[in-house]
Amino acid sequence: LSREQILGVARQFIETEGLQGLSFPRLAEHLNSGTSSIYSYFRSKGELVATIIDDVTTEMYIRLPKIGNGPWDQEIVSHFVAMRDLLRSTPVYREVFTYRVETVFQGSRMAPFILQRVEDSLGVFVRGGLTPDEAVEALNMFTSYLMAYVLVEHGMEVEGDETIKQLSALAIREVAADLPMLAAIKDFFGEAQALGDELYEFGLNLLVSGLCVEHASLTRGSGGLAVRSGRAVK
Amino acid sequence: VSPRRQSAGNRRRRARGSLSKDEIIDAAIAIIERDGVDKLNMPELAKALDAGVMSVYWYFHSKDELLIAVVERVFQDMINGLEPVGSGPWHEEIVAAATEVHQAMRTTLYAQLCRAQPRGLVVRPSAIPVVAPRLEAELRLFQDTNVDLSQAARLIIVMAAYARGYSLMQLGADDERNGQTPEQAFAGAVRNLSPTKFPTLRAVSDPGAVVSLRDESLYRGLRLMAVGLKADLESARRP
Repeated sequence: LSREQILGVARQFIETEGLQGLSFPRLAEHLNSGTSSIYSYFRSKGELVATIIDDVTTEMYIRLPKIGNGPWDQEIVSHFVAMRDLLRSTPVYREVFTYRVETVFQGSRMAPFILQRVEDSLGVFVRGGLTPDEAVEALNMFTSYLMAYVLVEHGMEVEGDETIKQLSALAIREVAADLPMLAAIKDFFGEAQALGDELYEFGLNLLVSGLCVEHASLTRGSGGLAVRSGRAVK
Repeated sequence: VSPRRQSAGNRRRRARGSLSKDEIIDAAIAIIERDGVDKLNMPELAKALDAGVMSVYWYFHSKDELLIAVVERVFQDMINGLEPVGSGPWHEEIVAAATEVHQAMRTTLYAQLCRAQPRGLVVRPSAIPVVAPRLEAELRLFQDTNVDLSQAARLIIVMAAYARGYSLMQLGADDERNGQTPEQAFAGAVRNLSPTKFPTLRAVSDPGAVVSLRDESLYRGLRLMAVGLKADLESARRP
Protein backbone atom coordinates (compact mmCIF):
# COMPACT_ATOMS: atom_id res chain seq x y z
CA LEU A 1 0.00 0.00 0.00
CA SER A 2 1.51 3.33 -1.01
CA ARG A 3 1.06 6.78 0.42
CA GLU A 4 -0.51 7.91 -2.86
CA GLN A 5 -3.04 5.08 -2.80
CA ILE A 6 -4.13 6.04 0.69
CA LEU A 7 -4.46 9.69 -0.27
CA GLY A 8 -6.40 8.79 -3.42
CA VAL A 9 -8.90 6.60 -1.59
CA ALA A 10 -9.22 9.15 1.23
CA ARG A 11 -10.14 11.81 -1.32
CA GLN A 12 -12.72 9.54 -2.90
CA PHE A 13 -14.11 8.94 0.55
CA ILE A 14 -14.37 12.67 1.23
CA GLU A 15 -16.10 13.20 -2.10
CA THR A 16 -18.80 10.67 -1.37
CA GLU A 17 -19.21 10.83 2.40
CA GLY A 18 -17.69 14.11 3.46
CA LEU A 19 -14.74 15.08 5.60
CA GLN A 20 -16.64 14.67 8.83
CA GLY A 21 -17.16 10.90 8.46
CA LEU A 22 -13.54 10.12 7.61
CA SER A 23 -11.77 7.82 10.08
CA PHE A 24 -8.87 5.38 9.83
CA PRO A 25 -11.01 2.27 10.43
CA ARG A 26 -13.47 3.31 7.72
CA LEU A 27 -10.68 4.26 5.38
CA ALA A 28 -9.00 0.90 6.02
CA GLU A 29 -12.25 -0.80 5.02
CA HIS A 30 -12.22 1.02 1.71
CA LEU A 31 -8.56 0.13 1.20
CA ASN A 32 -9.13 -3.51 2.09
CA SER A 33 -6.31 -3.32 4.60
CA GLY A 34 -5.69 -2.80 8.28
CA THR A 35 -5.37 0.59 9.95
CA SER A 36 -1.70 -0.11 10.69
CA SER A 37 -0.73 0.37 7.03
CA ILE A 38 -2.31 3.84 7.20
CA TYR A 39 -0.54 4.59 10.47
CA SER A 40 2.79 3.78 8.85
CA TYR A 41 2.34 6.91 6.67
CA PHE A 42 0.13 9.15 8.81
CA ARG A 43 0.29 9.45 12.57
CA SER A 44 -3.28 10.69 12.93
CA LYS A 45 -6.43 11.64 11.07
CA GLY A 46 -5.37 15.25 11.56
CA GLU A 47 -2.11 14.64 9.72
CA LEU A 48 -3.86 12.86 6.85
CA VAL A 49 -6.45 15.62 6.54
CA ALA A 50 -3.73 18.28 6.67
CA THR A 51 -1.94 16.56 3.78
CA ILE A 52 -5.11 16.39 1.73
CA ILE A 53 -5.87 20.03 2.46
CA ASP A 54 -2.35 20.95 1.32
CA ASP A 55 -2.73 18.98 -1.92
CA VAL A 56 -6.21 20.24 -2.64
CA THR A 57 -5.34 23.84 -1.90
CA THR A 58 -2.29 23.69 -4.12
CA GLU A 59 -4.24 22.10 -6.96
CA MET A 60 -7.06 24.56 -6.66
CA TYR A 61 -4.87 27.61 -6.76
CA ILE A 62 -2.93 26.20 -9.70
CA ARG A 63 -6.14 25.64 -11.65
CA LEU A 64 -7.47 29.09 -10.80
CA PRO A 65 -6.97 31.47 -13.72
CA LYS A 66 -4.60 34.39 -13.10
CA ILE A 67 -6.09 37.77 -12.38
CA GLY A 68 -5.87 39.98 -15.44
CA ASN A 69 -5.43 43.69 -16.05
CA GLY A 70 -9.01 44.46 -17.00
CA PRO A 71 -11.31 46.86 -15.16
CA TRP A 72 -11.30 46.07 -11.42
CA ASP A 73 -14.98 45.12 -11.20
CA GLN A 74 -14.76 42.77 -14.15
CA GLU A 75 -11.65 41.08 -12.73
CA ILE A 76 -13.29 40.62 -9.33
CA VAL A 77 -16.48 39.15 -10.76
CA SER A 78 -14.52 36.83 -13.08
CA HIS A 79 -12.28 35.74 -10.23
CA PHE A 80 -15.16 34.84 -7.95
CA VAL A 81 -17.08 33.16 -10.76
CA ALA A 82 -13.99 31.04 -11.49
CA MET A 83 -13.62 30.18 -7.79
CA ARG A 84 -17.18 28.94 -7.58
CA ASP A 85 -16.82 26.94 -10.81
CA LEU A 86 -13.77 25.23 -9.34
CA LEU A 87 -15.45 24.54 -6.02
CA ARG A 88 -18.38 22.99 -7.84
CA SER A 89 -16.29 20.96 -10.25
CA THR A 90 -14.66 18.85 -7.54
CA PRO A 91 -16.60 17.93 -4.40
CA VAL A 92 -13.44 17.47 -2.39
CA TYR A 93 -12.51 21.14 -2.97
CA ARG A 94 -15.90 22.23 -1.74
CA GLU A 95 -15.67 20.01 1.28
CA VAL A 96 -12.24 21.32 2.22
CA PHE A 97 -12.83 24.98 1.40
CA THR A 98 -16.29 25.62 2.65
CA TYR A 99 -16.60 23.35 5.65
CA ARG A 100 -13.02 23.88 6.75
CA VAL A 101 -12.41 27.52 6.00
CA GLU A 102 -10.30 27.81 9.09
CA THR A 103 -7.98 24.90 8.30
CA VAL A 104 -7.10 26.33 4.93
CA PHE A 105 -5.63 29.37 6.61
CA GLN A 106 -3.61 27.63 9.30
CA GLY A 107 -0.15 29.13 9.67
CA SER A 108 1.90 26.13 8.65
CA ARG A 109 -0.04 25.72 5.45
CA MET A 110 0.06 29.30 4.27
CA ALA A 111 1.76 28.46 1.02
CA PRO A 112 3.39 31.45 -0.67
CA PHE A 113 1.25 31.13 -3.80
CA ILE A 114 -1.92 31.47 -1.72
CA LEU A 115 -0.60 34.63 -0.16
CA GLN A 116 0.36 35.77 -3.64
CA ARG A 117 -3.21 35.21 -4.76
CA VAL A 118 -4.52 37.24 -1.82
CA GLU A 119 -2.03 39.98 -2.68
CA ASP A 120 -3.17 40.00 -6.32
CA SER A 121 -6.85 40.13 -5.36
CA LEU A 122 -6.24 42.99 -2.93
CA GLY A 123 -4.27 44.71 -5.68
CA VAL A 124 -7.35 44.73 -7.91
CA PHE A 125 -9.36 46.65 -5.31
CA VAL A 126 -6.48 49.04 -4.71
CA ARG A 127 -6.22 49.59 -8.45
CA GLY A 128 -9.94 50.41 -8.42
CA GLY A 129 -9.34 53.11 -5.80
CA LEU A 130 -9.55 51.52 -2.34
CA THR A 131 -6.97 51.79 0.43
CA PRO A 132 -5.28 48.52 1.47
CA ASP A 133 -7.47 48.33 4.60
CA GLU A 134 -10.63 48.90 2.60
CA ALA A 135 -9.43 46.30 0.10
CA VAL A 136 -9.12 43.72 2.88
CA GLU A 137 -12.69 44.36 3.99
CA ALA A 138 -13.91 44.05 0.42
CA LEU A 139 -12.00 40.83 -0.27
CA ASN A 140 -13.23 39.31 2.98
CA MET A 141 -16.80 40.14 1.99
CA PHE A 142 -16.61 38.66 -1.51
CA THR A 143 -14.85 35.54 -0.26
CA SER A 144 -17.38 34.90 2.48
CA TYR A 145 -20.26 35.46 0.06
CA LEU A 146 -18.73 32.89 -2.30
CA MET A 147 -18.25 30.30 0.40
CA ALA A 148 -21.61 30.87 2.07
CA TYR A 149 -23.37 30.56 -1.27
CA VAL A 150 -21.57 27.38 -2.29
CA LEU A 151 -22.17 25.85 1.12
CA VAL A 152 -25.91 26.42 1.00
CA GLU A 153 -26.15 25.48 -2.66
CA HIS A 154 -24.38 22.22 -1.99
CA GLY A 155 -26.39 21.44 1.12
CA MET A 156 -29.66 21.84 -0.71
CA GLU A 157 -28.59 19.86 -3.77
CA VAL A 158 -28.89 16.67 -1.77
CA GLU A 159 -32.64 17.07 -1.86
CA GLY A 160 -33.45 17.38 -5.54
CA ASP A 161 -36.64 15.45 -4.98
CA GLU A 162 -39.56 15.92 -7.42
CA THR A 163 -42.19 15.03 -4.82
CA ILE A 164 -40.93 17.84 -2.59
CA LYS A 165 -41.30 20.25 -5.50
CA GLN A 166 -44.84 19.13 -6.17
CA LEU A 167 -45.80 19.27 -2.52
CA SER A 168 -44.30 22.76 -2.24
CA ALA A 169 -46.35 23.92 -5.20
CA LEU A 170 -49.45 22.52 -3.54
CA ALA A 171 -48.60 24.17 -0.23
CA ILE A 172 -48.21 27.52 -1.95
CA ARG A 173 -51.48 27.14 -3.78
CA GLU A 174 -53.18 26.66 -0.43
CA VAL A 175 -51.90 29.95 0.99
CA ALA A 176 -52.06 31.85 -2.31
CA ALA A 177 -55.31 33.66 -1.58
CA ASP A 178 -53.81 35.37 1.50
CA LEU A 179 -50.35 35.89 0.04
CA PRO A 180 -50.84 37.33 -3.46
CA MET A 181 -47.30 38.67 -3.97
CA LEU A 182 -45.58 35.41 -3.14
CA ALA A 183 -48.11 33.52 -5.23
CA ALA A 184 -47.37 35.81 -8.20
CA ILE A 185 -43.72 34.72 -8.27
CA LYS A 186 -43.09 31.70 -10.38
CA ASP A 187 -41.61 28.89 -8.31
CA PHE A 188 -40.09 30.96 -5.48
CA PHE A 189 -39.10 27.95 -3.39
CA GLY A 190 -37.73 26.08 -6.39
CA GLU A 191 -35.44 29.02 -7.23
CA ALA A 192 -34.44 29.41 -3.59
CA GLN A 193 -33.46 25.78 -3.48
CA ALA A 194 -31.68 25.58 -6.81
CA LEU A 195 -29.74 28.87 -6.47
CA GLY A 196 -27.38 28.42 -9.45
CA ASP A 197 -25.06 30.55 -11.61
CA GLU A 198 -27.34 33.40 -12.45
CA LEU A 199 -28.40 34.20 -8.88
CA TYR A 200 -24.82 33.90 -7.70
CA GLU A 201 -23.65 36.45 -10.24
CA PHE A 202 -26.61 38.68 -9.43
CA GLY A 203 -25.33 38.76 -5.81
CA LEU A 204 -21.73 39.37 -6.88
CA ASN A 205 -22.79 42.33 -9.00
CA LEU A 206 -24.87 43.78 -6.20
CA LEU A 207 -21.83 43.64 -3.93
CA VAL A 208 -19.79 45.48 -6.58
CA SER A 209 -22.49 48.14 -6.99
CA GLY A 210 -22.87 48.50 -3.22
CA LEU A 211 -19.13 48.91 -2.81
CA CYS A 212 -19.21 51.74 -5.36
CA VAL A 213 -21.95 53.46 -3.37
CA GLU A 214 -19.98 53.14 -0.16
CA HIS A 215 -16.66 54.28 -1.60
CA ALA A 216 -16.84 57.38 -3.72
CA SER A 217 -13.29 56.57 -4.92
CA LEU A 218 -14.59 53.55 -6.85
CA THR A 219 -16.29 53.62 -10.20
CA ARG A 220 -17.55 50.78 -12.28
CA GLY A 221 -14.71 50.46 -14.75
CA SER A 222 -16.54 48.18 -17.09
CA GLY A 223 -19.64 50.30 -17.47
CA GLY A 224 -21.77 48.60 -14.87
CA LEU A 225 -24.30 46.17 -16.19
CA ALA A 226 -21.92 44.79 -18.81
CA VAL A 227 -20.22 42.70 -16.14
CA ARG A 228 -23.41 40.83 -15.58
CA SER A 229 -22.62 38.42 -18.37
CA GLY A 230 -18.93 38.22 -17.51
CA ARG A 231 -18.37 34.50 -17.22
CA ALA A 232 -14.74 34.68 -18.20
CA VAL A 233 -13.74 31.19 -17.20
CA LYS A 234 -15.12 27.82 -18.09
CA VAL B 1 -24.64 1.79 37.58
CA SER B 2 -25.75 5.39 37.96
CA PRO B 3 -28.64 6.14 40.31
CA ARG B 4 -30.59 7.44 37.33
CA ARG B 5 -30.25 4.24 35.42
CA GLN B 6 -31.20 2.24 38.48
CA SER B 7 -34.42 4.14 38.93
CA ALA B 8 -35.16 3.75 35.24
CA GLY B 9 -34.64 0.02 35.64
CA ASN B 10 -37.18 -0.15 38.42
CA ARG B 11 -39.82 1.54 36.38
CA ARG B 12 -41.82 -0.35 33.86
CA ARG B 13 -41.14 0.57 30.28
CA ARG B 14 -43.89 2.64 28.86
CA ALA B 15 -46.29 1.10 26.41
CA ARG B 16 -45.45 1.60 22.75
CA GLY B 17 -48.68 3.48 21.97
CA SER B 18 -47.92 6.14 24.61
CA LEU B 19 -45.03 7.64 22.66
CA SER B 20 -45.57 10.33 20.05
CA LYS B 21 -43.43 11.83 17.31
CA ASP B 22 -43.54 15.21 19.04
CA GLU B 23 -42.38 13.76 22.31
CA ILE B 24 -39.46 12.01 20.63
CA ILE B 25 -38.49 15.25 18.89
CA ASP B 26 -38.66 17.14 22.22
CA ALA B 27 -36.36 14.60 23.84
CA ALA B 28 -33.94 14.70 20.89
CA ILE B 29 -33.78 18.51 21.10
CA ALA B 30 -33.05 18.29 24.83
CA ILE B 31 -30.13 15.93 24.15
CA ILE B 32 -28.77 18.11 21.35
CA GLU B 33 -29.01 21.23 23.54
CA ARG B 34 -27.15 19.49 26.32
CA ASP B 35 -24.52 17.45 24.46
CA GLY B 36 -24.50 18.55 20.81
CA VAL B 37 -25.74 16.84 17.64
CA ASP B 38 -22.87 14.36 17.53
CA LYS B 39 -23.93 12.85 20.84
CA LEU B 40 -27.47 12.12 19.72
CA ASN B 41 -28.08 8.42 19.15
CA MET B 42 -31.14 6.22 19.17
CA PRO B 43 -30.30 4.12 22.29
CA GLU B 44 -29.62 7.26 24.39
CA LEU B 45 -32.77 8.84 23.11
CA ALA B 46 -34.81 5.73 23.98
CA LYS B 47 -33.34 5.75 27.47
CA ALA B 48 -34.25 9.41 27.95
CA LEU B 49 -37.80 8.57 26.90
CA ASP B 50 -37.98 5.47 29.06
CA ALA B 51 -38.84 3.51 25.97
CA GLY B 52 -37.33 0.65 24.04
CA VAL B 53 -35.08 1.59 21.14
CA MET B 54 -37.36 -0.30 18.75
CA SER B 55 -40.28 1.94 19.73
CA VAL B 56 -38.26 4.97 18.68
CA TYR B 57 -37.33 3.29 15.40
CA TRP B 58 -41.01 2.61 14.86
CA TYR B 59 -41.53 6.37 14.51
CA PHE B 60 -38.20 7.30 12.89
CA HIS B 61 -36.50 4.67 10.80
CA SER B 62 -33.06 6.21 11.11
CA LYS B 63 -31.15 8.93 12.90
CA ASP B 64 -31.16 10.92 9.66
CA GLU B 65 -34.92 10.77 9.44
CA LEU B 66 -35.15 11.91 13.05
CA LEU B 67 -32.72 14.78 12.40
CA ILE B 68 -34.82 15.98 9.48
CA ALA B 69 -37.88 16.08 11.74
CA VAL B 70 -35.92 17.85 14.49
CA VAL B 71 -34.48 20.42 12.10
CA GLU B 72 -37.92 21.10 10.72
CA ARG B 73 -39.35 21.74 14.18
CA VAL B 74 -36.41 23.96 15.13
CA PHE B 75 -36.72 25.86 11.86
CA GLN B 76 -40.43 26.50 12.30
CA ASP B 77 -39.96 27.63 15.92
CA MET B 78 -37.14 29.89 14.78
CA ILE B 79 -39.25 31.54 12.08
CA ASN B 80 -42.16 31.96 14.50
CA GLY B 81 -39.83 33.65 16.98
CA LEU B 82 -38.59 36.32 14.54
CA GLU B 83 -39.48 39.98 14.96
CA PRO B 84 -42.08 41.04 12.41
CA VAL B 85 -40.79 42.70 9.24
CA GLY B 86 -40.62 46.48 9.77
CA SER B 87 -42.29 49.21 7.77
CA GLY B 88 -39.33 51.45 6.85
CA PRO B 89 -37.73 51.78 3.39
CA TRP B 90 -37.17 48.43 1.65
CA HIS B 91 -33.39 48.72 1.45
CA GLU B 92 -33.18 49.02 5.24
CA GLU B 93 -35.91 46.60 6.26
CA ILE B 94 -34.77 43.82 3.95
CA VAL B 95 -31.30 43.98 5.52
CA ALA B 96 -32.77 44.02 9.02
CA ALA B 97 -34.87 40.96 8.15
CA ALA B 98 -31.88 38.96 6.86
CA THR B 99 -29.80 40.07 9.86
CA GLU B 100 -32.54 38.88 12.16
CA VAL B 101 -32.53 35.43 10.51
CA HIS B 102 -28.77 35.20 10.85
CA GLN B 103 -28.90 36.02 14.55
CA ALA B 104 -31.69 33.51 15.07
CA MET B 105 -29.61 30.84 13.35
CA ARG B 106 -26.78 31.53 15.74
CA THR B 107 -28.93 31.54 18.89
CA THR B 108 -31.09 28.51 18.07
CA LEU B 109 -29.95 25.01 17.15
CA TYR B 110 -30.78 25.55 13.48
CA ALA B 111 -27.28 26.30 12.17
CA GLN B 112 -25.78 23.47 14.22
CA LEU B 113 -28.37 21.05 12.86
CA CYS B 114 -27.86 22.13 9.25
CA ARG B 115 -24.18 21.55 9.60
CA ALA B 116 -24.87 17.99 10.74
CA GLN B 117 -27.63 17.48 8.18
CA PRO B 118 -27.41 19.94 5.25
CA ARG B 119 -30.79 18.76 3.97
CA GLY B 120 -32.17 20.81 6.83
CA LEU B 121 -31.50 23.90 4.70
CA VAL B 122 -34.28 22.97 2.32
CA VAL B 123 -37.62 24.55 3.18
CA ARG B 124 -39.87 21.52 3.27
CA PRO B 125 -43.49 21.70 2.10
CA SER B 126 -44.84 21.42 5.63
CA ALA B 127 -42.82 24.53 6.63
CA ILE B 128 -44.22 26.65 3.82
CA PRO B 129 -47.32 27.82 5.74
CA VAL B 130 -44.94 29.13 8.44
CA VAL B 131 -42.42 30.79 6.10
CA ALA B 132 -44.76 32.10 3.44
CA PRO B 133 -46.41 34.91 5.46
CA ARG B 134 -42.99 36.28 6.36
CA LEU B 135 -41.86 36.21 2.74
CA GLU B 136 -45.06 37.97 1.77
CA ALA B 137 -44.31 40.67 4.33
CA GLU B 138 -40.80 41.05 2.89
CA LEU B 139 -42.14 41.27 -0.65
CA ARG B 140 -44.69 43.86 0.45
CA LEU B 141 -41.77 46.16 1.29
CA PHE B 142 -41.24 46.57 -2.45
CA GLN B 143 -44.80 47.59 -3.24
CA ASP B 144 -44.89 50.98 -4.95
CA THR B 145 -41.11 51.05 -5.41
CA ASN B 146 -39.07 50.83 -8.60
CA VAL B 147 -38.01 47.25 -7.72
CA ASP B 148 -40.11 44.74 -9.61
CA LEU B 149 -41.36 41.65 -7.88
CA SER B 150 -38.98 39.18 -9.48
CA GLN B 151 -35.96 41.34 -8.64
CA ALA B 152 -37.18 41.61 -5.06
CA ALA B 153 -37.50 37.82 -4.91
CA ARG B 154 -33.99 37.36 -6.28
CA LEU B 155 -32.58 39.78 -3.71
CA ILE B 156 -34.36 37.96 -0.88
CA ILE B 157 -33.11 34.56 -2.09
CA VAL B 158 -29.50 35.67 -2.50
CA MET B 159 -29.42 37.44 0.86
CA ALA B 160 -30.90 34.41 2.56
CA ALA B 161 -28.26 32.12 1.05
CA TYR B 162 -25.50 34.51 2.14
CA ALA B 163 -26.78 34.85 5.72
CA ARG B 164 -27.50 31.15 6.17
CA GLY B 165 -24.23 29.93 4.71
CA TYR B 166 -22.31 32.49 6.75
CA SER B 167 -23.74 31.17 10.00
CA LEU B 168 -22.64 27.64 9.03
CA MET B 169 -19.13 28.87 8.30
CA GLN B 170 -18.97 30.70 11.61
CA LEU B 171 -19.96 27.49 13.35
CA GLY B 172 -17.07 25.72 11.62
CA ALA B 173 -14.67 28.38 12.82
CA ASP B 174 -16.04 28.20 16.40
CA ASP B 175 -15.63 24.41 16.48
CA GLU B 176 -12.07 24.22 15.60
CA ARG B 177 -10.20 26.97 17.31
CA ASN B 178 -7.32 25.22 18.97
CA GLY B 179 -4.68 27.58 20.17
CA GLN B 180 -4.34 29.98 17.27
CA THR B 181 -7.28 31.60 15.56
CA PRO B 182 -7.26 31.69 11.75
CA GLU B 183 -6.86 35.49 12.04
CA GLN B 184 -3.71 35.13 14.14
CA ALA B 185 -2.32 32.42 11.87
CA PHE B 186 -2.89 34.49 8.78
CA ALA B 187 -1.50 37.67 10.33
CA GLY B 188 1.54 35.66 11.45
CA ALA B 189 2.19 34.42 7.91
CA VAL B 190 1.88 37.95 6.52
CA ARG B 191 4.44 39.36 8.96
CA ASN B 192 7.19 37.32 7.29
CA LEU B 193 6.43 38.50 3.77
CA SER B 194 8.68 40.76 1.76
CA PRO B 195 7.26 44.30 1.57
CA THR B 196 8.49 44.68 -1.99
CA LYS B 197 6.79 41.51 -3.25
CA PHE B 198 3.66 41.93 -1.12
CA PRO B 199 3.17 45.70 -0.90
CA THR B 200 -0.60 45.64 -0.29
CA LEU B 201 -0.68 42.87 2.30
CA ARG B 202 2.20 44.48 4.20
CA ALA B 203 0.46 47.87 4.15
CA VAL B 204 -2.69 46.46 5.77
CA SER B 205 -3.15 47.36 9.45
CA ASP B 206 -5.02 44.16 10.37
CA PRO B 207 -4.20 41.33 7.93
CA GLY B 208 -6.19 38.84 10.04
CA ALA B 209 -9.31 40.60 8.73
CA VAL B 210 -8.75 38.79 5.40
CA VAL B 211 -9.95 35.54 6.96
CA SER B 212 -12.21 36.68 9.80
CA LEU B 213 -15.90 35.81 9.97
CA ARG B 214 -17.36 38.63 12.05
CA ASP B 215 -21.10 39.23 12.25
CA GLU B 216 -20.58 42.86 11.24
CA SER B 217 -18.85 41.83 7.99
CA LEU B 218 -21.92 39.85 6.99
CA TYR B 219 -24.28 42.68 7.90
CA ARG B 220 -22.20 45.07 5.87
CA GLY B 221 -22.28 42.69 2.90
CA LEU B 222 -26.05 42.38 3.15
CA ARG B 223 -26.38 46.15 3.33
CA LEU B 224 -24.16 46.62 0.28
CA MET B 225 -26.33 44.23 -1.72
CA ALA B 226 -29.44 46.26 -0.93
CA VAL B 227 -27.89 49.67 -1.61
CA GLY B 228 -26.22 48.18 -4.67
CA LEU B 229 -29.56 47.19 -6.14
CA LYS B 230 -31.01 50.59 -5.24
CA ALA B 231 -28.14 52.37 -6.99
CA ASP B 232 -28.33 50.10 -10.06
CA LEU B 233 -32.02 50.87 -10.49
CA GLU B 234 -31.53 54.60 -10.00
CA SER B 235 -28.68 54.79 -12.52
CA ALA B 236 -30.66 52.68 -15.01
CA ARG B 237 -33.46 55.22 -14.88
CA ARG B 238 -31.18 58.16 -15.57
CA PRO B 239 -30.51 58.76 -19.28
